[in-house]
Amino acid sequence: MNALLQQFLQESREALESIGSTLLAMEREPGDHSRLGELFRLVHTLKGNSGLFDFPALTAVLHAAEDVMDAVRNDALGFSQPLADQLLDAADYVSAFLDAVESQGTPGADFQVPPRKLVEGLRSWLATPALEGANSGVALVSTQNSRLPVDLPSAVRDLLIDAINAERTAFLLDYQPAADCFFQGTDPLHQVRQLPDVLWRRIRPLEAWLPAAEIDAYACNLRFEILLLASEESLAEHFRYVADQATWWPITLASLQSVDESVDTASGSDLAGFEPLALDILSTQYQALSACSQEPWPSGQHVAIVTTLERVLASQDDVTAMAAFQDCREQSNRQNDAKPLLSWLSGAMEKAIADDTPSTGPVTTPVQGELGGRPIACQALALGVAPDQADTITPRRADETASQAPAKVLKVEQEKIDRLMNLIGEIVVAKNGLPYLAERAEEQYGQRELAREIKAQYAVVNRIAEDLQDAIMQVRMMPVSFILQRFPRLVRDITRKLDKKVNLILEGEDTEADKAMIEALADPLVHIVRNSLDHGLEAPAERLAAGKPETGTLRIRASQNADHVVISIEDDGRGIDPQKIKVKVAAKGLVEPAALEAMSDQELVNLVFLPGFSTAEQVSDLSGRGVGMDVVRSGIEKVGGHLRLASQVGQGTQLSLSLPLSMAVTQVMVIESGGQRFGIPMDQVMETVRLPDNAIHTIKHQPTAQLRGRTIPLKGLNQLLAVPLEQVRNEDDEYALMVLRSRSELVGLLIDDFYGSIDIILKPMVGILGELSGYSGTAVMGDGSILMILNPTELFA
Amino acid sequence: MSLIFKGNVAHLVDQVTVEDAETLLEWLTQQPVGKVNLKKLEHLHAANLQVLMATCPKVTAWPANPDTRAWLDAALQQS
Repeated sequence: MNALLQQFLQESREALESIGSTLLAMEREPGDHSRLGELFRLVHTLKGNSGLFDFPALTAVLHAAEDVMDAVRNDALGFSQPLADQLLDAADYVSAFLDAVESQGTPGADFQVPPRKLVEGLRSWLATPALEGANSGVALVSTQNSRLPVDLPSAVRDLLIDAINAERTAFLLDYQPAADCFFQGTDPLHQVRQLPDVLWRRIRPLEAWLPAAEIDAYACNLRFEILLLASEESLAEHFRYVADQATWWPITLASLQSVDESVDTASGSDLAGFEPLALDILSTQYQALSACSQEPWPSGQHVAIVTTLERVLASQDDVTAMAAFQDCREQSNRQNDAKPLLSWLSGAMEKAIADDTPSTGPVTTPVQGELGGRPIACQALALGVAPDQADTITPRRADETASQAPAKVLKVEQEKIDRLMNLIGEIVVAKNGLPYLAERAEEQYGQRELAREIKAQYAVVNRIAEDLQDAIMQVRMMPVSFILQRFPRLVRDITRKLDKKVNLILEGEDTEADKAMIEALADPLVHIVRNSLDHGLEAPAERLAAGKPETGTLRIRASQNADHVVISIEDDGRGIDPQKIKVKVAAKGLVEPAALEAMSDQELVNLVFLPGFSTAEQVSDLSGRGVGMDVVRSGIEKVGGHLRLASQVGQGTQLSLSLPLSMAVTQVMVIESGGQRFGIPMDQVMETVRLPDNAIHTIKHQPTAQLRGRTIPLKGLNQLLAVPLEQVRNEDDEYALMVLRSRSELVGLLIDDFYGSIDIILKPMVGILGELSGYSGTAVMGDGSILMILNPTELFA
Repeated sequence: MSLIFKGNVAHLVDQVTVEDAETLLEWLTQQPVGKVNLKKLEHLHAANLQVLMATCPKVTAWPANPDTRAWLDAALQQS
């Protein structure tokens, strides 16, 4: 991939992000003209940049979006939610386009032709700002056949038929240059003369000519109609800069005939007058039904087909067709056979295909298939534009003055930074070898002076290495906003889908953490937010009934706490009912009933993290796809973070994620057990104590100890690791006890001896060893030996 | 010079550019019986084309270039 394209991709993605957030901001404050200007500028730049490459489809979409934004900026068009939807759709398209280009180097087959429905959807705002977006797009397609010139010379017709029979694609092109196109350096005549294989052409004035004295030679008043053989891609390419002024329709043999015969399409077939989309669905269902007609009636497939048919017919407001359909369904039900339904459907379809425009039905030519596809796209758009909805959501950023990106930025691939970090990690490990060397110089060779010099040199190297490490950490630091910025859009989309009203508040977006950490956080966070929206926050009516404001609040707050980033997600929804959890867990048999009874409310709430648990009564398509909170928790714990959940019934739920600032350097405490050294992550170590043998009491086969008024269960590390050795006691007959925090519980770990704490670069184990969950990884010590780092949480589980 | 006036006949020669459209329009408005000779015309800017379409002068000779001819036919020789 060339450097220019790479830069284009990078810049476009940044622009897209800004566009997304600006659009959402505009939805909140539609009158904000500074944002409008900004948005227009972004889209304009993006379009301009896209022109550098051979991306006609991308340019067409951006051009349409730019025109719409221009109209909004000039107050010719009001900004509304459906418009924002469409613009966001366009942004999604651009994003998908960029993805394709990035992965394959070229846009790929799907992105050669401008997405008509998108472009027309956008353009329709310009044409009829008062009307619902997609109407004109649909009208355009449904009248396509009437646009074929009836007075086509027969020679041209013959040529056309020959060409179509030879599997060439023919198009009727209607090009209406903008009135001011001459001033933009366009010569429409030149433009059309460059078209290949023109079979027929007609140039007419757009409006009747004025008397000669009043004519403005430089106001273009021309309309070009052209029949030509070309591919749709080449047309899109040819008119990419004036995509709004040129439209084209594929021509099929059937459409030619229909013009000839001037068939009245509204004759009395059962399905006449149906939308092409409906006919298309019906024909699909017909094929499906004939495929499964041998199965015993009613199979699941039959039921699905019947339901689909019924819905399609219902949507078409055709009483006679509906009645006929219901009759046949009854017959089928009585005879336990699909045949009555099948024969009705085939009869009705045949008539409809014979009578109606040939835009659907069995595919006879390749072109026709293409023609059949188009109405669906447009129709989908019509369905996609939802009726105007009230402001269901008003995301608000608490920190509006989020820091702008610095002016001078050097973009570096992440791989290079990772490599640099690995190298620095090696320096850190290598420099740890120097003290050992000094020791040897002194003890083995009696070189005290040399040992001191080595130590002095070590101090210098150590300082530089630490600075280096610090610097590389800074480079890898990213603001949390990197993942938070996707939430306004996510929350908006989900709440609209669920018909809820939610006010999203983001706080502390400029809190920084290691990039890998931020990325590890993304998926769990999305899951949590979805859960919150789906299960936590109630529908407006339910909220009002509970005496709460109609609009729920979802607050995502990021802050830094010592060497941890804490992200808390709070909602004021219905909370988690411990009793419900209890019933659910008991019903699923996930926990012993006796243990369940003994649990506090907080412990009950924490049961949502049990694998195989799902609180929702109903599995919705948003959350609850089998990915439970247990996955969220293990995802967070995998990167060394932990998760706390609190909830008050009827008041809300608070979830806080705590993650280390950086994964790179871990502080561990070195311990010994069974003659081996191990490392234990320092952030889990609560205290280290010497415990007399007689302080250990066994309760229900579980050795425990009283420590500062708390009863702590004890576990021997040798036993956990299946080492057949007793834990070693010191000369005073005391055990070495390490109190660890594991999932907010305290557990005592009996070991042989403590050593100091050291900084290590934790390398996760790979391959078969990677499946040993009791270890979180290994580290190389200064003397070259390997230290195994334990994962106490998994060990205790 | 791509636009040459000889008596009441305007000769459109070779490439007639967008700047010529004004001149052509002015001439045709002042010469109600003005005619155009397109014999040696290769291409004319669409602005000129619409001037011709609007004023409908008599064409004394059609372009020798078949492609140019086809496009001018499509614009001028109908209804």
